[in-house]
Amino acid sequence: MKKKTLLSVENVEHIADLAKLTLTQDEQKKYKEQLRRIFDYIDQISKLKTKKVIETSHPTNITNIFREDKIDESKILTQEEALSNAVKKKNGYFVVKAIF
Amino acid sequence: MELTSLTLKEALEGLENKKFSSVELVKSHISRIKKFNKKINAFVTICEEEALKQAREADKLIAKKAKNALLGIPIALKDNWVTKGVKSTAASKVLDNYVPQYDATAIVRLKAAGAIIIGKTNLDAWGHGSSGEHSDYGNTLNPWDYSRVTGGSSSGSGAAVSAGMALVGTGTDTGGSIRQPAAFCNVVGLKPTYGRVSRYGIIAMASSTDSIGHLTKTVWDSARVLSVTAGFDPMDATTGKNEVPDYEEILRGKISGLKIGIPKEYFGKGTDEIVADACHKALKVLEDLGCKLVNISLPHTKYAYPVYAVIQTSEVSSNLLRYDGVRYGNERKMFGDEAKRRIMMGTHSLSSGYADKYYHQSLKGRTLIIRDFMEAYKKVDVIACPVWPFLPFKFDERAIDPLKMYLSDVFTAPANVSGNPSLSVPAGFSRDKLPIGIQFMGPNYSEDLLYKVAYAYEQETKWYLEKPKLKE
Repeated sequence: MKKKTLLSVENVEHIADLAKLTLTQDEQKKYKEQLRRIFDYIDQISKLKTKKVIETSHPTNITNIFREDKIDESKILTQEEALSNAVKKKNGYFVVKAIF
Repeated sequence: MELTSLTLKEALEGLENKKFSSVELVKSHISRIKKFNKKINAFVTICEEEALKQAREADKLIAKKAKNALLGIPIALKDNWVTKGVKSTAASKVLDNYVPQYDATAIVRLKAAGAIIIGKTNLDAWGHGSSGEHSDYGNTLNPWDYSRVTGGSSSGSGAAVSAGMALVGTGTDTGGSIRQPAAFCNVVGLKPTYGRVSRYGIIAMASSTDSIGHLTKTVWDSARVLSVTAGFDPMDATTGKNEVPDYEEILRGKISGLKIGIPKEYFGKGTDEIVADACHKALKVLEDLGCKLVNISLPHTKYAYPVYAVIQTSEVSSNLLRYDGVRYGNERKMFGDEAKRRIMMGTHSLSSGYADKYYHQSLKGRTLIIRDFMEAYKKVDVIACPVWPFLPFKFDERAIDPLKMYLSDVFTAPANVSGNPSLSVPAGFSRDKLPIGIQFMGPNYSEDLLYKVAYAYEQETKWYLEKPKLKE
């Protein structure tokens, strides 16, 4: 079993890609070092005895909160409001970069 | 009378008895902001015109004997609270030009209670930090010593309340972000139970630990604000339907006979002696008031921070993925260093091949930490411990090493992992006049109990009467 967390520059590139971040080479180097140290520290959680333990994703255990499938008109934004913060818009639409 | 040194309670009484008007109260706070904010940098936006307009309206209502809970009171909102028509940046350049179309539920409630928003306060961008040093709009200086941090991430609200620039500063506490600046600035900071106050319209950091609270000068002031903001909100499915108790009535109750747990893990070798001493002195005060001090253990304490770090950064990476620069805000390249680091940590923890080792293991660890607290609350009513392991530190002292900075959160993050409420109250000063805080934690929805204990302690000590001497 390896003791230290090993993160390569390729790992860091992969993570940045998943996170849709563009990193400079200096940043890649920096985060590689910092993430290695941080995950070395985090790795101690492997010592927790969790074999029969269930996961907690929510701390107050509220479950199945439903509401009527009705539109609350007071919470609706007008088209103008919805577009009010867009950097680029055209004919009432958001303009986005081409995907392909 | 110096209106900016009043507590919320005193200000409400003064307004009601016509000792001064809301316009005078708002003006005095704004002139203090204008005088000192250049140096302290607690505010990123000041809403002078609108605040004065609201104050004139409030004065008319007061003349008609209206009794709204916060009528005519100037408050400051942390800038990750979404305010309709007022720029809300979360102190990140990504949202440098974001003007929201709606108000957060908590703001709707504060406004309905008559509160007047005088400005938006600085923070570590997105709430990522324990010192205020990660703001894209500059550091907030600690009113008690300008060379030191306020604590974070609610840095501006801590400084603003402490420096008499607002009667209430709102905050968000994901891993300690309300309690830490409260402790470093000699004010009261409440992290309510998860779901006690709606998260709707609060810029999300880590959705399963974000708790929406506030910083005030006294315990009573904190209780009054919570009685306004707390309660079920159909717009946030994680808010509880539990009734909101009459906090102001309950806090005057007797505390003799209450059992206060002292967890040994929080008083170990990592805790500065000065901080531990101040907490022990505070506990002695409570013992003299008839409380029983009980030594307890929370055995998984050392895992609470790493478990928190994985859960928090995982949720951060997911929440921040919405910033695509299309519907609002700027492009992702505008994220600062700290946000990028947390996004990277969280993405790694969630990624294929690592999710079991990090994310799922942490969710199971979370269960164990919650069990620790539940076991403890079978033996004691509340738990008391330091907020920070050390005194307010100097700028750059911890910022250079991210891990060192993260470990500032060791005593505050456990309550966020467990969801339990926690209240930070002033517990005295170091010899150099640096504030120290103690926190009281309790089971879910026990804010009333925490207020009762803290109020009794505050009445004996009155640390809130000590004010920082500000320099321009």
